[in-house]
Amino acid sequence: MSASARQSSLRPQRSPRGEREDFARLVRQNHRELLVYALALTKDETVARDIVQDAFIVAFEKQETFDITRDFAAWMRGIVRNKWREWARRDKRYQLGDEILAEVDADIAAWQGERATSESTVFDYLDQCLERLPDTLCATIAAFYYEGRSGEEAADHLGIAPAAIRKRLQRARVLLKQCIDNKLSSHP
Amino acid sequence: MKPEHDTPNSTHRLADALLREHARLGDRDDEVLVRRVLQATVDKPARLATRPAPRVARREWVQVALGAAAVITLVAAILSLWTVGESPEPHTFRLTVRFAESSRPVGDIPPREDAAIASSGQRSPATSIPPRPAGETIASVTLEDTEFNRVSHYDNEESVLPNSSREETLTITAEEIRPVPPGRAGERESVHYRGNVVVTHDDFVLRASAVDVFPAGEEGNASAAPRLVAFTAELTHYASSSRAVAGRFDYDTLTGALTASDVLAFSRQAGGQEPDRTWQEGGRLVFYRGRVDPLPTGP
Repeated sequence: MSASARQSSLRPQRSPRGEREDFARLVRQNHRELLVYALALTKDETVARDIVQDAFIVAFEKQETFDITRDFAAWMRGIVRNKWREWARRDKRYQLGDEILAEVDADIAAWQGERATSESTVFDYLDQCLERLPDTLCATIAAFYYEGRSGEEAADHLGIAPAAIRKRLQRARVLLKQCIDNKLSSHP
Repeated sequence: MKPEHDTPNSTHRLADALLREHARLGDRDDEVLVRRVLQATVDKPARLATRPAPRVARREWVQVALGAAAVITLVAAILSLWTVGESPEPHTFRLTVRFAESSRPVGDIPPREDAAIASSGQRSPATSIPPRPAGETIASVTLEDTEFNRVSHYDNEESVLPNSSREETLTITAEEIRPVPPGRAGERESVHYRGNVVVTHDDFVLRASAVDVFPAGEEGNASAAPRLVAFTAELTHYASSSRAVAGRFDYDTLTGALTASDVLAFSRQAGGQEPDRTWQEGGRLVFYRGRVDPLPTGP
């Protein structure tokens, strides 16, 4: 299926008969990347899930005003962004600069586009990239993210200082992001 | 925020968020979120349309409506005291439910969750849940703000339903509390808690991403007891020595039954009672005192 055809299929259908199936499909196609988007903005899993849920409800209620010249994924990112702004307005700690916001938005757009135009998702690429990480970084990522250990617990588990954990995590994030970017660029 | 999550730029923010989401679910869909979205959108009209009509006699309606009206007045007054919670500090509130003698048999009261969950319109088998001792029914609700030592209650409750016989207490702790005005999603006023919500009861503890407390009544059903709905929650049920994770828990203050929907996990500690039938992922379980009973998920 061509990219343009897949983009068209992301737009909500107007047929009442298939409304449920169409909307359910759109939710399933878009919610994981939107959760990552909201989590990157808020850094709070509960708030991120609430924002994405509210965003889909808003989209459903306003689907009649949806601009068919735009794709659904971009429309949803806009709603999530507005929901995040509403939330972040309460506390300046959570505000982000325009540059970071634009970079995050561009990456999420690329990840959503990958899901729409190929069989792979960013999660598949992350799996592949994790396998290519050096063992020390991979063990740190596993202990902190996948085994749910705190920084200090991960440090105890791996027998290194907490400061070294933070350094390793930072290094691993950079390498993973570069690896994912490379995989995306190899599938234009 | 933990220093390990300190993400100074977009690369770190994205990688951190992606790893956290991947660690949570891998490449699978977030079924709980999807269901919640669909229930609030495309599935919403069907659920409202199949709600069964109340089967309570007019005289009984009047009696219970008096109590419900008092509760609504009370909660409206409390809601008016609060604005949207902005403090990251936890709030602790106490919901006290008083039961009083009544001539109305408990069995005549339509189980509330039948209406909310059953999609086929048939009566839910929730009637198999052991009811409260005969003669008990909801009489009043007290919301107590323990942090600010502000207590509100219905002053004239004795004149509505006398002979108060028992109390239950639910303590709710959350990072944020928000009153929800009437009209939203067709519900009456409610209070929305979110952010590390912990609901503590003598029989159980619920840890949830969000909790809604509905003071009384819903869409004209004034006989409905106050109820509590927890989303994406983990339950520790002491009375049945069991634990469960589910997309939704509904606590009905009238029957005392806690209904789990979209059950994702269930485990029983040694000595607890086995469910009558094997539980199913995505199904429903009812927790009542020392019992855990599965409910059919289909028509």
